[in-house]
Amino acid sequence: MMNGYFLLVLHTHLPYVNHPNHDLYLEERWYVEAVLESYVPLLMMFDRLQEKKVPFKVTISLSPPLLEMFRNTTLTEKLKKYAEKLVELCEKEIARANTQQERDLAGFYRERFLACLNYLDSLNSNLANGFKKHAEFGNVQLITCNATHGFLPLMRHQPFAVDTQIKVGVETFKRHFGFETKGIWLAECGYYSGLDETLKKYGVEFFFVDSHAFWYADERPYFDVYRPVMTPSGVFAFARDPESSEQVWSATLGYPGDGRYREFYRDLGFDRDYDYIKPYIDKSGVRVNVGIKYHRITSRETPLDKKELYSRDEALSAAKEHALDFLNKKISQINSLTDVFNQPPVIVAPFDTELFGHWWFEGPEFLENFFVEASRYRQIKFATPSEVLEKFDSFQIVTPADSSWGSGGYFDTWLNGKNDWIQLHLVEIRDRMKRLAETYFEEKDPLKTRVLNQMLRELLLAESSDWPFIMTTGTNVEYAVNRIKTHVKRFLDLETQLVKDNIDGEFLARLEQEDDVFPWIDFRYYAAFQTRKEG
Amino acid sequence: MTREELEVFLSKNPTIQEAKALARKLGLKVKKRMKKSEVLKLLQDFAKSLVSQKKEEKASPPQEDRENGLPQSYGSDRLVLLSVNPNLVYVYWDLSSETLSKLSAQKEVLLRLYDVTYIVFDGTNAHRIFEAGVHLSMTRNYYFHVPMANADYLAELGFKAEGKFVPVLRSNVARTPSNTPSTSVRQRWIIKGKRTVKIGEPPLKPVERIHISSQVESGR
Repeated sequence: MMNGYFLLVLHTHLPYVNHPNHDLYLEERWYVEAVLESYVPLLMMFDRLQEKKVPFKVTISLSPPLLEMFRNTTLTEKLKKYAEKLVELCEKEIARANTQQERDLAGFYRERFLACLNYLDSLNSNLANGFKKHAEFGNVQLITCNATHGFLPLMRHQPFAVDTQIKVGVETFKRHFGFETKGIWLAECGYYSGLDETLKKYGVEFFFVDSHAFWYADERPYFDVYRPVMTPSGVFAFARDPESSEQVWSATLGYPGDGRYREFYRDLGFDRDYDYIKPYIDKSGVRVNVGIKYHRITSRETPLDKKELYSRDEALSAAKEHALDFLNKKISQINSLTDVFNQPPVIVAPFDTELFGHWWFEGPEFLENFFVEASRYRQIKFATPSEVLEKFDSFQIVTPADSSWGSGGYFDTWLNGKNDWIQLHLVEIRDRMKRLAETYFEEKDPLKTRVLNQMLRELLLAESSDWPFIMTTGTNVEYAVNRIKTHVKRFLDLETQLVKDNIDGEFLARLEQEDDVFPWIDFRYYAAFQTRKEG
Repeated sequence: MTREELEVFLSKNPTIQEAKALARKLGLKVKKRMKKSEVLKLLQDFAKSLVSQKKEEKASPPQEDRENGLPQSYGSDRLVLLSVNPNLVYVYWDLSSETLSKLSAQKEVLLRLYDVTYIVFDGTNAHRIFEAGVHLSMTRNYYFHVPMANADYLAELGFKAEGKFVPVLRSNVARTPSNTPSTSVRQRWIIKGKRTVKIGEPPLKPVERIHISSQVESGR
């Protein structure tokens, strides 16, 4: 009997946000929320599947900034302290609850936060250990992402910048996990023809693109998006299945909008009296989500203040229903694709990891049910990309089209009237970095070397695709603008100090503490590209 | 053009053609089907933005932004061209003071975009030329709507003297992404183990000897 392969790909990334000289920073909450709501619940779910011996395979990309945050002990301490405060808040909530249902909900969150804290301890406070464990079991294939999630199609005219993004991505992965990555998630699925050569240079065997990268490729893909292709340089590309994302994401048909699921926008941080909630919201006094939410979506039309109370049991049965529905759809998709191609299709379903748990609270349970139910069917097989590449003995040779998975499918999100001003600065400092790397290639002075290495860190942090993305979408714009300006300014200040031989050691040490990504980095990467001397 | 000049222009009830021409000159995005009221709105908004720009300039030392003191120019004499999507490219320039004064002395500063797909460009043989007038004191970048996806473009900044275009800066080449399926019917396949690339004539029969479980590859 024919069957098909299903590849679940979870892309896991947050920009590097680290303000060690402040209490929990507003934007550091991005990390805290993702850990408490997505990463830990997903890891716990993998543990349960493993225990129950349910076959599952997931591909997980972990971006270098995220790996560096996992390792950051100051940030982890803040995270734990905050989770402990939430436990305390839950206890207050239990005491003040009017009904049994509210009391149960507060109790549910208390247990959840406590379990999270225990889980972190069990991993020595580094989540990378949790992912590595499942990679070693063989159920998870971990892959890297380019260094700071820079959007590569907009760097292509400065190949040394692309080269360094890939090199640092591959290197960070190895430093954290002790083995080489086989694949890469290109930030925003940003691809341009020729990028595969750089991937090849650093030993990357496969990457992912959006569907139209195959549809508009230089030659038509015989199997549509349902089998990886090989690029002329010998690297494999997997393309996104449009149906799978539509089924999950669609505003009208998508699962996460079901009335029984938890309402994201109704949060204690906004619901409670100011004085009561003040110790748990942002230190500036601005109300923020605290992650305790008692209500369900009810219906899309229901105004926030009319939402009904959340029932965990009902939400879980919705997750199960939807998992079954998704499974049925996948099986019938596999059957019809098999009819068309007379070959087993490969269905690639990539998602942002934070969809599961953070945005869609019951997402991890949806996935759990999906894997559990699927184990009863033989038509659908889960696989990692490396396994798929082993399963087939022929691949079409194709150059995918320049593309991204952003709005419109090209580069508009990262280059438009709201963020185009950053190009002037990014292009300039990359060029300067390259010249300095060549000039100082043989530099032995440890202080100057530190300055140059820190300049490369500042440059990489400025390149993160998150900043122009935020400027486009319009929330937290000020923070994103500041981050770019700060990193560019720091780069320029360090450069001035370097060339004037007037290095401010205190200033340098502060930057090394705040912008402390990639401690092993070597500024010579930027020159090595041309001279082919490896630093 | 100052804000006052622009307001005078608007108060004279210009025709849609005049309004569109000016908007284009100012580097604003003008769409073909825009109504007159929409173009005027565009110009009014632009006029408003000029005020705030002025304020910013006053409040800060020359050449620097207010907050973090980022330079407004690096004097690098660079013209950079980036594709945005199959029908849009972005170009910006960063001029040295010499180039700036050289160009400012000219009456007609122009930005040109050439379609140089599959040719060795010698300055005269472009498939198409797009041209935009530029006010260096006001604009530092420009978006060109381009007709061809999957095409190579190159920009030049220069001026017109005695009816001839004199380029001063040239950009990198940028290729617009493709947005249609390939017209090629060729298929190339790699068959594992043979380590050869097969070039098949269409329609190539799908490879029939696939054994899903047993065929563990040894070549890599």
